[in-house]
Amino acid sequence: MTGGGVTTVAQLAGLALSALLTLAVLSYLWGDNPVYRASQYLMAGLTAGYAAALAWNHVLAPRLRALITEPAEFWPYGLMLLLCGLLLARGWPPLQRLSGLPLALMLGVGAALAVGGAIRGTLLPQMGAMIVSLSPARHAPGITGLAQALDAGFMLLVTLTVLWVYRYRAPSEGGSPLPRALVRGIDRTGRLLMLVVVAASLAGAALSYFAALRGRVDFMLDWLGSLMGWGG
Amino acid sequence: MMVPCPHCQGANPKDAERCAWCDALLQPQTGASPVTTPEPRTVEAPSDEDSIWSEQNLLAELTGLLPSVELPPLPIVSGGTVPPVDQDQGRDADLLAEIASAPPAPPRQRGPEAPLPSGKPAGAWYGLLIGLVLLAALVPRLLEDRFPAAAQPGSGERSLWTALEELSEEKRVVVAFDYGPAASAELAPLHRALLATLRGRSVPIIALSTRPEGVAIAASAMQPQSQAGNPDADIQNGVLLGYLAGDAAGLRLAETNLPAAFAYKTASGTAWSDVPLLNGLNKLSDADAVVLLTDDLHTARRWIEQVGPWNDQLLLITNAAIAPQLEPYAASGQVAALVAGATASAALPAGEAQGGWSIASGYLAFWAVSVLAMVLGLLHSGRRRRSERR
Repeated sequence: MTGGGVTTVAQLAGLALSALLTLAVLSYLWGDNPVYRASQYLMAGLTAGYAAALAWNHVLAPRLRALITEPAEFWPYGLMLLLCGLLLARGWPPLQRLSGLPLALMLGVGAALAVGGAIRGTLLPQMGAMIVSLSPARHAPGITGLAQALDAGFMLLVTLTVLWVYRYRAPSEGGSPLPRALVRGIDRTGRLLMLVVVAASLAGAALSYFAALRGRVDFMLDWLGSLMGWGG
Repeated sequence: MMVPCPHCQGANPKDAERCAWCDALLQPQTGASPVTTPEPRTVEAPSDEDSIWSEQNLLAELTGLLPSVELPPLPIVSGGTVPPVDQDQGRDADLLAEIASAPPAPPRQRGPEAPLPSGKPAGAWYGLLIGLVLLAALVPRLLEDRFPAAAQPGSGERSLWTALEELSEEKRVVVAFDYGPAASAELAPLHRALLATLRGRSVPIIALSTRPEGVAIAASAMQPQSQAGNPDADIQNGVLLGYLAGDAAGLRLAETNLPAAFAYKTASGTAWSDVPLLNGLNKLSDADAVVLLTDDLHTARRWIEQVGPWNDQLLLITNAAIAPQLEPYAASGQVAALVAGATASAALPAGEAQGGWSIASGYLAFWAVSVLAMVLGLLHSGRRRRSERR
């Protein structure tokens, strides 16, 4: 058998396996069953194995090689590998405390990056985006400016309403200075707006899942077509 | 062999006289009831040695610490006789005696449990719903490109196209394939359309991924169509950097020192300095544009927060599920373009040849099915409520 033939057989076997696994996953439509569960475990195991192999090939091995071949230039990699080794000490009780060092480093750096990133990348820019003029003249001339000003006003109103829903305070004895009906109205509007956001997210998720299903159905039809000779 | 206790149903050896669980008599005596009240156990008075007030008892040291309290005097009974008990007191005393002397109630026998309400609708409705969804998934195959109007370019597609139009062969684009095979059906048409557009303009592509499964997708996408899937095939007009580990820390490192983030090598093992395309590319912001393809909200946020502030041209291509949460970043200008959903590929200039139109018709069919399912669901729940009221 030629090399090309082997490739073809391997490809055909791979396609057949993919099709069988697709059917195994779709069998969940008839309820939980061992075939579906086996495919789940297979996927989890393969993902973990693939990630481990990739981490070795793309992260650890190149650095280890660089450290061995050019230690004078790449000595910081030795420090990195030492920290990795300390992390492994977690499984050995006499040296377990040493694993706290790389863990503390990871958590500390991770937290600093996450907080700093959230402030610089989300909080401040989003707050800045909210500070817009409500004057139509500052946006654009004519009806366009008016529409943009209305849009900005609506955005501000929605933001304030949703923020209002999240207020937490102890009830004062004198009650709220605002009329109760107004407070209740703002509350309801805020919750309704949040519901709209959740609905939009759910609709998007439904579309994504449908796209995944459509992809699998397409694949199955193509596979069946190649088996039966429909596709030519 | 074990026999159940007739009193508490606990399992006991066959020859046991008393139940190990409730101490009831198991072997019936002649002329006696098989179930009798357990006899009161006699408690011997503690001897001097094991008295709680002995010297060995630690509590003994506490005697005398608290002030003594005088007990109230007993009620004086006139004439030295016990006061008569009225009717209520007698009834209470009888009830107390009955409660104290009654054997414990046998465990309640469980009847057949009522079925829990499941998330799935009733059989026929469930089958109908599944059938409709599958039918909708088949619509793209049946209708092909009969609904071209379903995918019109929106502001995101226009912004993306404007950004891509500014790129030429002297410019470099970093493309991050941060999605897995699960989102391939939705994002693959978009990445094909994007790569076709970039290749059409001869723009060199630098590919990477912060997710393990994305590396394989990137490698496959970067190869020529004829050699897709062949790991030894050359990369076409670009370079694959490989896996960028470390999540936020990795991205921050890539933003400050891109070669160090990849150990000064490409995925194929070529030294960074030996690749002309990578000359002068010391950080992500040195690229003329960064395109992120992802189906994960956290990944998208990480890129926006760690890389976005230093890149004017951060272009996001996502699936429909996470697009609503990313819209504020596009509206605030932090993201130069946000394109979402498989239909978007139809709106891109090179997307028409990538099957985008048929996906658009599939979406239209899905919407029709969703509306139909909602109407049927409302009718079904209304009918069920009416029958429950009756």
